[in-house]
Amino acid sequence: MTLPTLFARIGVAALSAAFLPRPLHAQSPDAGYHDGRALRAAFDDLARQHPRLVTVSTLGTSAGGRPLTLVRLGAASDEERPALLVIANAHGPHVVGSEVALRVTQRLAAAYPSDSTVRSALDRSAIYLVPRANPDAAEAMFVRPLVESIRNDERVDDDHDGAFEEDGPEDLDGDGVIAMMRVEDPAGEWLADSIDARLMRKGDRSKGDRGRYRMFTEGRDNDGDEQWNEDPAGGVNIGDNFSFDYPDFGEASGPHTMSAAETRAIAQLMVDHPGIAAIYVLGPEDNLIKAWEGKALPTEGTRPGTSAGGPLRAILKDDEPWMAEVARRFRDITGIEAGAEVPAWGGDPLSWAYFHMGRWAFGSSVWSASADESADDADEKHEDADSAKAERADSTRADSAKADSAKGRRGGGGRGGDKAKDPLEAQRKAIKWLDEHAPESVIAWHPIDHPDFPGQVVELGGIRPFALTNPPAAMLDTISAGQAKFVRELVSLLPAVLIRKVRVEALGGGLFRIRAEIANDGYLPSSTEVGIRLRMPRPVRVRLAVPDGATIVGGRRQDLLEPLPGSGAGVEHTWLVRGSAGSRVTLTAESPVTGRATQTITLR
Amino acid sequence: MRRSFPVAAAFALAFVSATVTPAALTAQQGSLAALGAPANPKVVITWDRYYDNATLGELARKLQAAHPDRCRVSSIGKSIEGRDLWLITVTDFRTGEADAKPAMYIDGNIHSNEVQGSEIALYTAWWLCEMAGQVPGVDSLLAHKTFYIVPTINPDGRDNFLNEPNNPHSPRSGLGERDNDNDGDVNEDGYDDLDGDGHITSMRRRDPNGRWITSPEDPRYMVRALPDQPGEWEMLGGEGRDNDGDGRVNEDGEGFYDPNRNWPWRWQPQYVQGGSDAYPLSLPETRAVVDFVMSHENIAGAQSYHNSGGMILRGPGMRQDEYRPQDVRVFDRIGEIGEQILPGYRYMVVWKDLYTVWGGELDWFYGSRGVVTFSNELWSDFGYFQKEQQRDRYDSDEMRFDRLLLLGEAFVPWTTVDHPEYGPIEVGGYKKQYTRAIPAFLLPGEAHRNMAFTLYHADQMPRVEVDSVSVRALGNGLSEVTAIIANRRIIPTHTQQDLEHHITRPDYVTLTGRQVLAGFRVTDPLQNIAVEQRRNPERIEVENVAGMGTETVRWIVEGGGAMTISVDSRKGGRHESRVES
Repeated sequence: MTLPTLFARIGVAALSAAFLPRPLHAQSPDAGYHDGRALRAAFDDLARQHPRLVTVSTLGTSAGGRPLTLVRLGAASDEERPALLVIANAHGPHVVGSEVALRVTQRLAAAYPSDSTVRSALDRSAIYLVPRANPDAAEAMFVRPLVESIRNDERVDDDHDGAFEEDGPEDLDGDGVIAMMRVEDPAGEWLADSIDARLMRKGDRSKGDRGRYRMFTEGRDNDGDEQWNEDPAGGVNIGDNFSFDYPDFGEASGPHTMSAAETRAIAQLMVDHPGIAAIYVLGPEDNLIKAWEGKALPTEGTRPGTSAGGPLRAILKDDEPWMAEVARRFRDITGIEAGAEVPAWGGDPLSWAYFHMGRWAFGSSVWSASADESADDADEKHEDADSAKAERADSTRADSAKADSAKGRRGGGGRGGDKAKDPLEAQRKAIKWLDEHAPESVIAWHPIDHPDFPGQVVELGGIRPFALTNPPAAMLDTISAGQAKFVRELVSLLPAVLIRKVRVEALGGGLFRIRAEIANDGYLPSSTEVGIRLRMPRPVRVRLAVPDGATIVGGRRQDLLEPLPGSGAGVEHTWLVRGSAGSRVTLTAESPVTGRATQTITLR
Repeated sequence: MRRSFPVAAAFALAFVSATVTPAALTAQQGSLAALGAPANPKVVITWDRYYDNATLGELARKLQAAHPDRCRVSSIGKSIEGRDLWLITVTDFRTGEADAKPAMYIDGNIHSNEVQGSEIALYTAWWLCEMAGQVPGVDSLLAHKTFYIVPTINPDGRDNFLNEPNNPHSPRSGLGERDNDNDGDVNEDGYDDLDGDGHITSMRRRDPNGRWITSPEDPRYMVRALPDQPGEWEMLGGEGRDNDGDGRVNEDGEGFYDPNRNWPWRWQPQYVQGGSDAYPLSLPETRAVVDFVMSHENIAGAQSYHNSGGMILRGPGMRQDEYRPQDVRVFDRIGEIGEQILPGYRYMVVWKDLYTVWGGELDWFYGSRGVVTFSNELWSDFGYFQKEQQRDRYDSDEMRFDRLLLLGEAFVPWTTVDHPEYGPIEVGGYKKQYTRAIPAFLLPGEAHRNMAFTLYHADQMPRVEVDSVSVRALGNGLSEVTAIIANRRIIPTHTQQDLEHHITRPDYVTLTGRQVLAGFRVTDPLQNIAVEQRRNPERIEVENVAGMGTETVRWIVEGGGAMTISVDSRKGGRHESRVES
């Protein structure tokens, strides 16, 4: 893994400079977490316990040959049902997402018999889960040396030198962890933070900062090209491989969008299950702590979201209030008010779900060491998120969060918070939290002899991989309880078509006027505004079937409705039918995302 | 003109002496072979028809059987309906590994109805195989380059166009089933061949209130009545009926998506780019091509044949993208030559001169892979009378051409049929092979000129050579070896797009046979400025060899004996030179 990857998780480098005593019996960071086999086995167990409610299947195969598991939670049905799709752990190191997905499934399956909200939701609709969308990368948490990987097992020549995977990291001190590595060098740009000397920051020479260190991940320059760990094993981060605002030639975004079989399998899942009305992504991108802001489209000039204007850059204004309300409920239900807010940055499944699939899309980062117990100033949080967004906006391939080992030919992706007013603030909070709750995750700087730097002081240290975004396992149940409540809420908010106010008037001569309202009984509108532009999901289809001998003389046999706003909004339809009194006609309104409503009407 | 005479004469003589070979003289008895075609082809292919996918495969295998050293046939994948995407690899297999030579990728027929691209592609394979050994230019091409030819990357659509009732524009889509009208049913209301003639033409109904009349010049030709002119006919659209009784006609036929909007470079969803389908690479045909190109880094040029309009197109497809200026100069030069080879064709930029395209094939080739790529829109109005289209109120070049050159064959005469919803109507109009596909007697000419353009493009793919090597003694048993590496063609070994995004690895220049103590890239030969490469000094990495350019590398070596200098470029080929001393 290269530095920008790790840094991106926390903004900039968070590294311990103090020589803390290293815990002798450090809790294994993966204790209580499920590796690929264990995760699949846990879902298989659940399916055995709840055969009519939980189905486990394999959606595809990762580059490394691991199964991409698909779970369906909902009363058995052959019919396509309105559905919520949960995608977790597309971003490799966000293993906590998988753990939450598992526990949410367990909790909802267990609650089904006794919780009427869960029961009615799962009888009417379904929850699909792709609990580990990047199974190859997640596996890194369960092998030693421990190194955060965002990549699947596709072989990629990261530095484009013609050799594949020839320079990955090494565990130089044999502690089972790939830590950070700093090399004393007056030519380096890095220095210790003046507030918390354990943290490293990149100096600004224009402000008189004289760097003292060069920074790398732990390892050797295996191929002698004077770059360190620039071509590690692995290829594509599934969480960067989706098509909205895809980062071309990004660090691990793949050779092009949808290059990875895992990404395409998820996209095809959306095609195969048109009933998916909403998507919940457990991953670094978060639009629930702070909801996405909508933008009205300009009335003049080339408008975004058209052939001439190109891609949309913000959600459509009309979708904003609905998404904001769901976000508000999320915060109420889970109590999560702050986090390492990473607005969707492109290539990720969350923004893809909204902009390219047209679905209601929500994302939670679940947990971060920097935000836990530190929700002291919500406004400040929001500013952090804004600056991160600005950072992303003007540095698609910039080197803002780039460390010395990432001088590689591809840009680092620039996903940090360099330009925040004090980018180290989040790291100070994170390291403080880890000091108190998981001190084994802070690795004190300790010197080693490094053959590549004879005569120079080289030290290893920093924060243990995975520690910033994956909480100690003891916390997973509590975290998942809140998440399960939110998923229970979200699946209850799906659109639901309803036929109401049916009236029949006999006009004489065997002519009848039928009136009925087709309404949306759910909370969420039957389509997002962007979905309307996409023509996906398809609209509610209304059909009136009349028996032999009867004819529709006014109104249409089949109609496609304009999208129905949520919370009970409806539209009236009228038909004139000539038929014999006492005969029955059947009115059906349905679409994959709203489900089906049918009513038999007697002409009288 | 006069000044260049000696040069032209020299070329002419060279060609004469080259083509008057025994093979040409022993051509078929009782005839004198015209130039530009194999005098005695081993595989006879008639270029007056459009072949379905199975036949394309059969013809390709015949070529392979007849020319085992120059032609190999395989499949790069399967279509939605399970048809093979045939790949014909043409090169001189005796002169080096096909996948190591600079390669030209050629495909056709991405849009189902744009059929003749496949014939142009097959013609190229056939002509190269049959002319090899007859024409030095062909032998040189096959010695140094490889051609990956996929005649159709949309075999389902092709077979549908050929075998099912269609009009010149249908289907454009591949045959994956899509719900075009979003009513939940798929392909439930397509065209109907009401008169059973295999063509989808137009429907008209006599109606004194209609606003159409027949042309006094050609009564088959329908013309809109003038505002103050009484009409005779009502036009009812394309041949078909309301199959699903929803009150709309032909609203959900085969497809619909556009396979040329499905590529993973600047792909955009439906609201930005219609037809792009649910996600990039959703189509197995697109994926097969992408997989093939990703695993063949030697591809340095690409051509995709479409119809129609007479265009040599390059990207970008949209205003928001940019082709690097260094690369544009290369495109411009090849495009300019193309306009000479292809009278009536214009060299154009997609978004600026045509329309905006997101997620198009040629942009993926250039944007994602840095490959110099053109799309030719085959055939245009110009072809009818070798001049710009003349269209007046009562007649058009298509109608005139049909009357004067095809004697009316191109038009299905208006015939009365009983329409289930409209009652008695007439159907008639152009056959599906007219206006976009090419009439038989013009097809070989169109094929040859387009092939010639693509051969020029292919010839201009980089060709690296060790130009010269000089050795200077430094004393103490040390020598300084300087090698100049030349690219003999217009296209660089790395386009600027490739360089900026590090798509293809550097070119390697390797010295073997001596102990190398140090190695350098000479960045400024005039001022003798060199940058040392400390790692692997025996194999110097050169970022790029510019079109018609050189790179200089240097080593300090120890001892004596023969040395070999070799250059190995992914897109520029391989070459080596042995130095005895």
